[in-house]
Formats: sequence, C-alpha cells, structure tokens
Amino acid sequence: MTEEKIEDRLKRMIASRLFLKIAPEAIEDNKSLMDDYGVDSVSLLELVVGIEEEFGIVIPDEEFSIKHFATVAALAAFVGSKMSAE
Amino acid sequence: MEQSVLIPRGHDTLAGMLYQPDGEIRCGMVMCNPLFEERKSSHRVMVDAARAFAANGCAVLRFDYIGCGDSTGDFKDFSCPDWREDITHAARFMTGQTGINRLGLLGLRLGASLAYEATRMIGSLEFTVLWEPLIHGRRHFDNELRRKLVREMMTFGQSRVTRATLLKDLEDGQPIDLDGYAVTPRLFHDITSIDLIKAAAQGPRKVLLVHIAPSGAAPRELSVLKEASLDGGARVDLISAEEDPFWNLVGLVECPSLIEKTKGWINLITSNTGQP
Repeated sequence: MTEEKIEDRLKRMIASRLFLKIAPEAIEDNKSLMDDYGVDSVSLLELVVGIEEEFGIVIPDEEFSIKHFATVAALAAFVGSKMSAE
Repeated sequence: MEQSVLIPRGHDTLAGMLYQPDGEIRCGMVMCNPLFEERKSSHRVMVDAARAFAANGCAVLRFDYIGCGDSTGDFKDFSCPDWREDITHAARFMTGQTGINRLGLLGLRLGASLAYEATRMIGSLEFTVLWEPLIHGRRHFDNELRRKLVREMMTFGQSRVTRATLLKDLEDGQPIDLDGYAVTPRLFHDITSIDLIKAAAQGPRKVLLVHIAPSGAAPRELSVLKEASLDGGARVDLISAEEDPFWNLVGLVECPSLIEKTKGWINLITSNTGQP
C-alpha cells in the first residue's frame, strides 16, 4: 500500500517536473524512464532534486546508480528504502 | 542588415554579429550568452531573438566571450571578470558602430548574471533584460556537478566520482572537466561567488526578470531578487514566459512568447513615456 502511494507521488512528480505531455497515470511502473519516456541527464537531475524535496530524503552521490532510476518501480523501491532508513 | 564584426579587446579579438534595423534605430542591445553546453543549445533562440529585436528597431550585438566560440583565446585561461569586461567592450563597440546612446543588455542564464554584474562597469545603460538568471552561483555549480554524476550514471551505470572528490581536485589546484570544458579553480571560485541578491544594490536600474518554463509560477528566488532590486531603487518587472528550457534542449526550439514579451517590455521602456 505504501509502495503504491510512493509510485503515484513519483508519477505525478515526474509528469509535472519533467513537463511530460502525458498524464501521470499513463506512466507505467516497469517501463524505462529513459527509453520510453525520454528522460535525459538534464531531466534526471531535475528528478533527483524533486525526489529530495518531495520525500525529504537525501540521495548521496555514491548512490547515483542506474538501477535505482531505471523505472518508476525501481525508483519507488529505492525511495521507500531511503525513507525507512532516515 | 546582419554583419559579422570583430571587436578589439587588447591583444585579443571578440567575434560578433551585428543586427541593424532597416529603418530608424530606437535603441541598441548587447546579448550576453550563457556558457558551457547551454551556449550551444541556446544559439538558435538567441539568433531568432536578435533578428526579431532588430526588426523592431533595436540594433543588436551578439558576441562570443574571450576563449569561447569564434573569439580568440583558450577557455581555460579566462573567467567571469574577463567575460564581464568583454560585455563592456561589446557595449563600447556597439555605441561606436551605431552612434546609439540608448543601450541595454540582455543575458541568458550565466550570461544574465554576468550582465547584471557588468552594469556597474558600464556608465549609461537604459535597460537590462535577464532571462532565467543564475542568482546563486554556488547552487548552480553544485547542480552542474550533480549533472556530471548523472551523466556518468547514464553512461557507465554508476557515477564514478563524487562531488567531494571533484571539489577536492579544485581545492588542490586541479581543473575538473564539465561537459568537455576545463573548469579551473579560478573559474570555480568566480562562479560560486555569484550572488545577485547581494549585488542588487549596485545592479541595473531598469530590469526585466523573465522566468522561462512551460508552466508554473516564478521561483521564489526571482521574487527575492526583484524585492532586493526594488529596495536598491531599481524599476523591476518580473514576468513568466511559457517556453521550454531551450538552453538544455538539443534541436531547434522556437520561443515566440519569450521574444514577444521581451520586445513589448523594451518598447515600453524605450518609448518616450517610458512608464508602465
């Protein structure tokens, strides 16, 4: 349930902060943010900053790994783990 | 009329393009580019804007800073004070070439910050237009370092450096690479020293601040800069232009709203009434 909520918040944030021309609910959990939604290095940085603001977490430089940012599902798991740890 | 020009700068030369109106020249404007990759991405919009302003009676000079683009010098040998000085050379050249004494500056991103700080070095400026200025250089530089990590992550799967190691290199006197540009310790110091809020008391007198984004209100820091400039006795207008952040985009981008709104403000400022 908590994971769902994180995913929904992430989708809203991705759509608004990255100015995607699709509805948040149209973003699929397991589709590639880079290949399917055109997220590039500029928008990915915007996403990092947005996640830190939205969820009150800090993403250390050492954890800049593509496995955390590949999909909404991966991102939600990563954010969830950071929230639990803080 | 468009004409390529060479602007003398001591032993160096700045390369520029001068856009002159066909009819009466109402005012002149020097455009101040951003730097690094943002300069390349924004090139076409800056050209479109220069042509539109010239067609509206405003002579425009675009130029490359020393060590950048077609100008002489190596990027690694220069920094913000040199580029602010370039703006004064360009302004002087503009006045000499056109005989215009109603002169303004227009800057984008870091170019806007340089323009803001250069106004105190240029005696008689009529107006200054700041497109999405970088208000706090330290915050901007930190974002640039993070962007480097993101790029590495996208290329190699994982970032190979941290901001701490990059900053350590700079502290040790070593340049670091950002998008293929050598950022020297001096340039790092000068960029991170930028604080337009602190500089507001000595900033330009008639200012248009433009927030550029597809949607949403202007960020708080632009409002703070507006208030600080007003406190310093300036006339400041803060507007939003609903455009994509073209300085970060690859490919052709058109920004009609940004150009039209800026043109309208310049018309107002340089009209005989000059009041809102």
